[in-house]
Amino acid sequence: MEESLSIEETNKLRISLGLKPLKVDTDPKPPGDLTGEETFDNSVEGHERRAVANWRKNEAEVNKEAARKAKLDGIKKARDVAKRFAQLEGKGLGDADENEEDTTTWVRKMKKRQKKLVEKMGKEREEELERAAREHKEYTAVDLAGVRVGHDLDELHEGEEGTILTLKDSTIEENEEDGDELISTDLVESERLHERLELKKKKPVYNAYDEDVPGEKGILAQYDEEIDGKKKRRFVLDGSGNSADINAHREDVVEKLKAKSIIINLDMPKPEVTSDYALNMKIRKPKKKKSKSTRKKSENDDDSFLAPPPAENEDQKSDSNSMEVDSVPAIAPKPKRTYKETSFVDDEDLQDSLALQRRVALKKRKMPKPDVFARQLLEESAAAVAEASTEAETAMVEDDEEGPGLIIDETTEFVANLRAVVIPERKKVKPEATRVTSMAEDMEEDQETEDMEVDQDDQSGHKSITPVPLAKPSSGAQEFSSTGLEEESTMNRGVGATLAMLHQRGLIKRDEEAENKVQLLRDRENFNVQKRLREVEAEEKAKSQRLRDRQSGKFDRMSAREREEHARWENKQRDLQEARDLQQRFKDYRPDVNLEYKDEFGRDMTAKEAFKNLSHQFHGKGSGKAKTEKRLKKIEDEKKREATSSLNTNSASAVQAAAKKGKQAGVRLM
Amino acid sequence: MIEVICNDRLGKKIRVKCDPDDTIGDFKKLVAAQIGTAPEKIILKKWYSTFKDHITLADYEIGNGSSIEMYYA
Repeated sequence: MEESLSIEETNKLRISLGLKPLKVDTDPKPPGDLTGEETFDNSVEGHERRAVANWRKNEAEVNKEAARKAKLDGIKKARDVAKRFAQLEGKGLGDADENEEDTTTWVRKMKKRQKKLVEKMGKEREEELERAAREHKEYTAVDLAGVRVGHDLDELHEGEEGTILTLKDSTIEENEEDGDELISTDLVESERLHERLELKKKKPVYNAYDEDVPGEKGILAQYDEEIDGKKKRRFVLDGSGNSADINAHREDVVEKLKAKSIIINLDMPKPEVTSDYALNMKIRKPKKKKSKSTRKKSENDDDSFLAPPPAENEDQKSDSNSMEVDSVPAIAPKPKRTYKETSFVDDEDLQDSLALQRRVALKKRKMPKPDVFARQLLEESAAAVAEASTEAETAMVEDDEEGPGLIIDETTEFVANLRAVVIPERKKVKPEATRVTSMAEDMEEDQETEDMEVDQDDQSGHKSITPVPLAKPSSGAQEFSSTGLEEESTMNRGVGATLAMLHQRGLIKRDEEAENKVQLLRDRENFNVQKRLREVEAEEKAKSQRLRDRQSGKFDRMSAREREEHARWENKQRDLQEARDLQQRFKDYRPDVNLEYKDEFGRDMTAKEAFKNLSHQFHGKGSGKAKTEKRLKKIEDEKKREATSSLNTNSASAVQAAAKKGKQAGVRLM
Repeated sequence: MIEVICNDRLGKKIRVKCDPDDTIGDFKKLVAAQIGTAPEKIILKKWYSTFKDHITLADYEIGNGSSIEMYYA
C-alpha cells in the first residue's frame, strides 16, 4: 500500500535533483575517526546520537551510584547486626556466674571498697582544707599597713562599738592617684547631712561677734574651701592597726591643750544678753480637771485624808449600816476642796448615798441561796404548767417590780385559747379520716393520699375525693374568741383578708357582675376537677370489677368468644352509664361563650369583618387591590393613632400642629 | 536518514526516505518524483498549518515515521 523507494534509488534521485545523498547509519565509520577526536557533527542525527550517548552515560553513572549505595547499605546492615549480637553476648541474668562469690568474699570486697572510699574522702577533705587555708590566709592588721583612712581619728573614736570601714568608692583614675582609702559610710553620711544643714542655715559670712582665735583664720576664710578644696582629714594605718602618726596626733593634742591653757584672752568679756523672758522658771502646771467619777474621787479623798479605814473596809462598813443615808455625809468633811467642787457638793453627796443604797439593794436581792431560788423556779414552772400561763405571769409580775409589766388583753387571751384548743381539735379530725379510709380500703387499695379526705355523702352513692387544704386552723378558732364577738380581722394577713375586712365593714361594695363572673369561673374549675376525679374513679371501679370477675371464676366457665362478648357488653354498659352521668351533670353547666375572631395582624374583627373573611376563605378569592389597600391604610392609621395617643394627648398634638401651621416656635408648658 | 509517510487520503500513501535537514521544498521534489505530481502542486499540512518550502523537516520536528497530510493545489 505504501510506496517507497529503496535507498539507492532515492540517492540517485537526490543526486539528479541536486541534493546530497542520504547518510546511512549502518555505514562503517571511517578509521580516522576512531583514533582522533570525534569530529563535531552538527547534523540532527549527530545531535541525537550524542544525546543518546550522553543519556546512556548518565544512566550508567546513576546505576553505578545506586549499586555503590546498596553495597554500603548492605555493609552497614551487616555491621549493625553484628553489633546487636555483640551486645547480646556476655553473661545474662539467667546465666550462672562462673566465679560465684559467696557472702564472705562479698563482704570482704565491700569492706575493702569502703576503706578505699574513706581514704579517698579523707584525702579530699585534707586537700580541701589545705585549699581553704590557702585561700583564707588570715587577713590581719599587717595587711592593712599603709592604707589610708578618710576620717579624722577623733571621729572614729566617737562610736562606742567601733565603726566598720569599707573601701571608698572611686574611679580608676582617683584610685591610681590616691590609692585605696577606707571610709565609714555612716560617718560620710552624717558628715554630708551636717554640711547640708549648715548650708541651709544661711549663716552670714562675716560675724563681727565671732569669737575667733587670731591667726587661726585667714582673710576671707569662708572661701578657703572653695579655693583649696575641702581639707581632707585622714590618717594612715600602720602594721599594728594603729594610726601611723598616732604619736604625732597625740603630741598635737597635747600641744593644743597646752596652748589653750596658756592663752590669755584679752578681749573684753562679752556682756551677757539677758532675755526679757524668764527662761527656767518653775511653772506650776494647772491642775487637771478632776475626773467625773465622783465615787472614786471620794474614795481617794478618803484615802488621803481619812487614812485609818482602808477602802474595802469602808465599803463593808457602809454595807453594814446600809440604810443610814445620813451617816455617809458624816464622813463628808473634806478639808481641801476648791470652790468649784463645793458648788456641787450637795449633789455629789446625794449621788454617793444613792449609789451606796443601790449597791446594798442589789446585794440583798442576790442574797437568796441558789437552792432556794431553784426551788422557787421549779414551783413557778409547775404552776405554769398546771394553771393558765397568765397566773404565773402575774406572779412573776408581782415578783419583779421593776419590770415593764405584763399587759393582758383580748389578744393574748385569744392566743392562749387558740394554742390550748387547736391541737385536740386537729387530733379529733384525724381519727375520723382514718376511719373513713379504712372503710374505703376494701374498695380501693392505693388511692388514698395524705391530704385527701374521703367523704361518702354524694347523692349518687359514689365516694368522691376532694382535696382539702392542709392549713385550716382558723376555722375552729373563731368560736373560741373570749369576747363572744367575732374576732376582729386585721390587715396584716394579706390582700384577701384585707379585702374581706373592708367588705365586712361596708367600705367597699361588691360588684354584682364581677361576682357573678368569678362565681362562674369557680364553678367551671370545680366542674373540671370533679370531672377528672369522676373519670379516675370510674376507671378504678371498672378495674376492680374486672378483678372481681376474674377472681370469682366467671371467665373460666366462658369460652373465648363469650368472654369477648361479655367484655364488649360491659364496655357498652360503662359508656352508657358515663353518658348518663354526664347528661345529669351537664344540666347545670352554663358555658360562657364568647366568640373572638382575629385577623392576620392580630386585631379583633367585628362580626361583619369576620363573616367577610370567612367568605373570602371559603371562596378562595380575596377583595381587590383597591379595597385591600384601603383596609391596610385604615389599619395603619389606627396603629398610628394609638401610638400618638399613648405618647401625648390629642390636644397637645393639635396645638403642635397649629403652631407648625402658623410657623411659631415654642413649647407648650403644662 | 528518516522515513516520512505522506498520505493524501485519496489513495496515495508513500514512504519517503530523506534527511532531517532537507527543506520542505526538497522533500516535495522527492514526493513529486514518487507520485508523479508537480512539486509546486503539492501542499503539505499537519492539521491546519501548511509547511513552508524553505524550512527543514527537523525544524518542523518531523522525524522518522511521522505522517504528513498531502493536498493538491
